[in-house]
Amino acid sequence: MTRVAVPNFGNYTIPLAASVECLGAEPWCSMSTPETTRLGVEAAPESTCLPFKANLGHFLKAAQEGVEYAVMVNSVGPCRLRYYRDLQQKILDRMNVRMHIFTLGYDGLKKPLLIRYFDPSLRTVLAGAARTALKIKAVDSLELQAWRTRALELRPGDTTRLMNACLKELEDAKTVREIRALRKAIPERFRAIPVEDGREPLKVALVGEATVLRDKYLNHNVEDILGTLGVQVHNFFLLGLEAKKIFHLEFSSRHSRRGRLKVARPYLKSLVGGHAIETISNTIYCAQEGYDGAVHIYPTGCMPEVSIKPVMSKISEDYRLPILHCSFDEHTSHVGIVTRIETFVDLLYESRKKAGSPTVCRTSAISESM
Amino acid sequence: MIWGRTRSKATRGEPGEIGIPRALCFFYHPGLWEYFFSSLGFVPVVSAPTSRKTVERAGRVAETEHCLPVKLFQSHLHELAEKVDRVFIPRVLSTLDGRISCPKLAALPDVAAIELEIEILTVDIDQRKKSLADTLVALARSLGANRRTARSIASEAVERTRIRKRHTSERKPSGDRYLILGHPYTLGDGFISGRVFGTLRKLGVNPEPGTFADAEVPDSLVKWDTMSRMYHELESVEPGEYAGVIQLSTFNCGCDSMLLDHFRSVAMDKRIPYMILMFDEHTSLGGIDTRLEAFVDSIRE
Repeated sequence: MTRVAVPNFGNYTIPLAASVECLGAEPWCSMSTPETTRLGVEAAPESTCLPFKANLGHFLKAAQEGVEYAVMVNSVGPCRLRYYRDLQQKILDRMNVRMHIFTLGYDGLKKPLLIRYFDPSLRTVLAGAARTALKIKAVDSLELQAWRTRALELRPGDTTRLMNACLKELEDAKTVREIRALRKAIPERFRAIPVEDGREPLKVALVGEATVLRDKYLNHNVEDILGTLGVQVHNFFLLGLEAKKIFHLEFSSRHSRRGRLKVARPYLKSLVGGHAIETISNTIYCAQEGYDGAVHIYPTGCMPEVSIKPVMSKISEDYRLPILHCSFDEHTSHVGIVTRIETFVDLLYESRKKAGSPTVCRTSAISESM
Repeated sequence: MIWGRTRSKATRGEPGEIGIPRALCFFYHPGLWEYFFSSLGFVPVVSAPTSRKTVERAGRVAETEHCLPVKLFQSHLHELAEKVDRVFIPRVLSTLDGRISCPKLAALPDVAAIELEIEILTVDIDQRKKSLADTLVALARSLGANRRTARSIASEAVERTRIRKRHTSERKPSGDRYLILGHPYTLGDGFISGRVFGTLRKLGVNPEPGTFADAEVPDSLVKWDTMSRMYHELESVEPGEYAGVIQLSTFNCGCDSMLLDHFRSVAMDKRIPYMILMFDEHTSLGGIDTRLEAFVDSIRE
């Protein structure tokens, strides 16, 4: 069977892989590793953004393993994402790597058309699409459960272990029935993890650029670092919502494009491209919902996210919401990120203490970190 | 379309000062905004040309991860904020039909309104939807001009900015002509490009900035407006027309980071010597001289 490489998108790589099965092809996927990043950094122009390098490295790794096709999204926005596919194809051609990258995107479909090229039967397409949609939903609910449980778990690592087991199972699930059953079982399984009682954990939102928010290798596993410090995180990039927005199926005024523009309007009156509007509207939402803080995550030099940094500072001031800006590139030090996040969390704990709720702190985690 | 912290509505009867930062969009249409505002009865105040001092101020006031031109823009803006109550910052979304501008330009008026306690006058320049002349008419009308005056000022302003295309007789192949490519705001800012032109002239060669005169740019891979004009200029260079092409780029420019490698391969296919000079706040002018001398020497050999 023809193999098709899909980009790495954190846990959402699993549904993306399922979507390739729509074509009757076998998906190739893997997580980012130091090796894929190195391959990408070597091949890409030096000052391109981190997702470009990571994605290119990923495809190069796939090509090394004999995969000849890849598929990725394309955009028509003003940010650098628009050039990803074309430039990566050019770089691969120049390196004499046999690989063709198909696009799925708003940019119109480039020839040869993906669907015509593989020509799958209608049955395969529909079954694949159903599995993809269900897997997206399953990952979404897995994430939500994990964020909640990790902050309160009594034995550090329980949640991550269960999460990984569930993801493995989800990856192997081949039929709609299996996926449905798994999704139903998820809350039950997470309830089995022993948790602290009566502690109200800090709530911190993760906002910013989608790829770095999602790729756990690129963002040095921020979710885990925060979770271990006893913080309940909420990563604001959920593919379910994003997909609905792209296909205009989102009707709630909160998450639709129009709704977000309206929320962001007092601060930003135009689209800046990328996920700028989402970042701003999500930050405002989480301030309104009483989050304790937000971590703004983006690749170094990201055009839209860097442009809106002053806007984020203003929101922080207006809503009294502490925001930590973290930019990531291939030289970002893990220890540096951990230190900054620990300090941020310490400050949040302190401000809660001042507000008069002494039980927020996970004493063990903080004393260890100090 | 026009918003800001309007304290008093500008009318033609009360001419006021309008600050224009000498950065970014200012260089897209040299002289356009001064002419436009002065014919409407305002007093345009353009910030001083970029100097060491501007760069130092940029280090204090600008976002650290921005490219040099945006940092300089912020610095010019802060300079103006000390002098005037009102600053004009257009929101440039597209300057070419079918292309889009760098996303950083779209957020500038919003960021200025957040950072500074002054009135921001802005207008959307989106030439995919509306021609520059129409935008100017609407802006003039909203500033209190009547329809007829607005039209005549707008058409005169646009006429003045029309760039003269190089005559075919001037396009003679020659051994000492160098094409200097860059965004309008890198070529136009003497602080960035001045040394390059000066050194090349001292070396006895003839540097020519890209004119970007063609109104129509054929469809290509490049979708950013100024970048696609540069690409078109490079693509239409005939063999032997220039001795070499020097590309001025600024550190952390998103557009350049993606496409300059592609530009280089285009130049290589055409067998034109091509050099990229990267500028940031710390670029040493001596280093620039050395690289230019080496480039010119290697071509003369």
